[in-house]
Amino acid sequence: MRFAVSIVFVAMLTACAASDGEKPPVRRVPTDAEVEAYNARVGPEEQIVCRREVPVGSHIPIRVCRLQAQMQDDSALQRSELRRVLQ
Amino acid sequence: MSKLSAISSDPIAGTVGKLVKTLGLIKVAVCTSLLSVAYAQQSDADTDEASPWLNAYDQIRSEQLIDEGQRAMREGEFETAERIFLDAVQIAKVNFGLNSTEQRMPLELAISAQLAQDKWEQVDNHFTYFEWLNDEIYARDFYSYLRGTEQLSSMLLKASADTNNPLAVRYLIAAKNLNWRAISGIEATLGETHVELAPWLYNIVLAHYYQSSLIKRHGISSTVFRNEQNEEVSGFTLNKSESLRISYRIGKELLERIASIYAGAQQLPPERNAMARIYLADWEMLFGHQDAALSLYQSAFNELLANGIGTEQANQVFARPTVLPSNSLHNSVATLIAEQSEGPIRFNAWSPNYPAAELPSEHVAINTGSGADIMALLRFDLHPLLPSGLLNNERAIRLGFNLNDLEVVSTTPDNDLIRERALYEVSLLQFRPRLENGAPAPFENVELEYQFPPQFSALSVSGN
Repeated sequence: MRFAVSIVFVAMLTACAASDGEKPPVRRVPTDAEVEAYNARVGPEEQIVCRREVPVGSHIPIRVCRLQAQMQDDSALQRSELRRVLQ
Repeated sequence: MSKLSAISSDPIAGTVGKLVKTLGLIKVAVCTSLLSVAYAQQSDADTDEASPWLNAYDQIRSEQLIDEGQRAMREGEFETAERIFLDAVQIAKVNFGLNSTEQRMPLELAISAQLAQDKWEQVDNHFTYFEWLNDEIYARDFYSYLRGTEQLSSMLLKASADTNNPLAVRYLIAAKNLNWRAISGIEATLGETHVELAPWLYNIVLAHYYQSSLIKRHGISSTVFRNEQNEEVSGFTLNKSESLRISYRIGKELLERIASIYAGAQQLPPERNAMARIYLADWEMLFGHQDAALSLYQSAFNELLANGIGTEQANQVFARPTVLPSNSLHNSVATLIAEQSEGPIRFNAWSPNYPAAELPSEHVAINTGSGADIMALLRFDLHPLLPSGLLNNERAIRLGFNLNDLEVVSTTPDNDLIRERALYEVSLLQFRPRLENGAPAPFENVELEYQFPPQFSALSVSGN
């Protein structure tokens, strides 16, 4: 019985995988050296910053890369929102 | 009637008059020519005397100026030297063009004179000009661009090592970025696996070591952005351990890349892979991963034997203590052994900004003159610490290579402060361990001559 359940479970998983058709492209996070090489060639606005962050709902840290300008904008937005709420 | 009309009316008198007139004209002509000759001679004499000024844009004069400036530098007249070198830059511009490579040498010397005077604003402007000039050269002559990049990178490192420099970190990062751009250029021009990449990659590894020694002392700003006034300002700072981890990972990745480049470079000696592994082991050692380091050293040793290097020669690679990181990247056993010298190990400390870092080259030495004669001779043993856990049959094993019985033999000048500082500075050094037939072995009675960095006296001795 347990064996049969396992077979069905594996078959379901396989079906899921097969239904996807082509494999989605793997998005590889750049290494530290690649990030540094890229940042050396571009201006401050286009530089990227990568760091390990623990997402909400998990204990497993993941490596996240963002545009520095985007981080600055997010911080500015959050600061202004905080100021608006506190007023 | 006038006298003239009277003369002209008489034929004899008219002939005589004409003769006199002709003679007068000849006399005037002779006098004029004599005067012209005299004037010309005088002019030549004047030109000879004033030739340096009239031929100011002659290359000979530019070279003379460089000699003159270097003499002023040796005599400590940095302001005079700066002025002379900047004149030489202008002459090179006029003689060879606004984007000429010939400007780089006098410009480098002018920056050197400005560094000696702590003229940071002028230094910064000239660095920017040098970089612009070098980028202009890139399209015309790629190898000349690489030479210029090397020159500028050395100057930036020199500026970053100066304890009076308020922008030391910025210049270190700028030097590193310059090396990255050279790597991009080599990849685009010569290919991504070209052996020319190796020394540039190693320069970045060394820059990360210097950066990590700065991080250990104080936080380092990791990002720069433009504020609302369009000024570049420092952004958030990564914490110390995260910065160190990034430096370690980048260094390791680059050393692995050097190993893979060497693996494909058939023109290099067969032991090139083993040599690359030694540098990878050094890196692990510098970041306190002794177990990983020993394992890599041993595999490098075995690979040397597998590549046909005799046991005696392989032992010789590890026979003399080497202070880490090594400033030169060797891909053959012969060149590495040739670099080893007899007698005490000489260690020229680079700068108080970078403790435990050896002067990479004379090009980046600081020009203050002070402190050059402060040195200490020390003696110590270097023992591989046997894993105590292993002896007690426990799992926790940590192998280390530590200095034992460190003592100061002598100092110049003889001073207690120098003795204390020498003990401290040498205790920061990391050494490549000795391997005897692939197994860690002790070094006994190692003598090391520690040359204090030029600005050491300014920080400590003079304040004593």
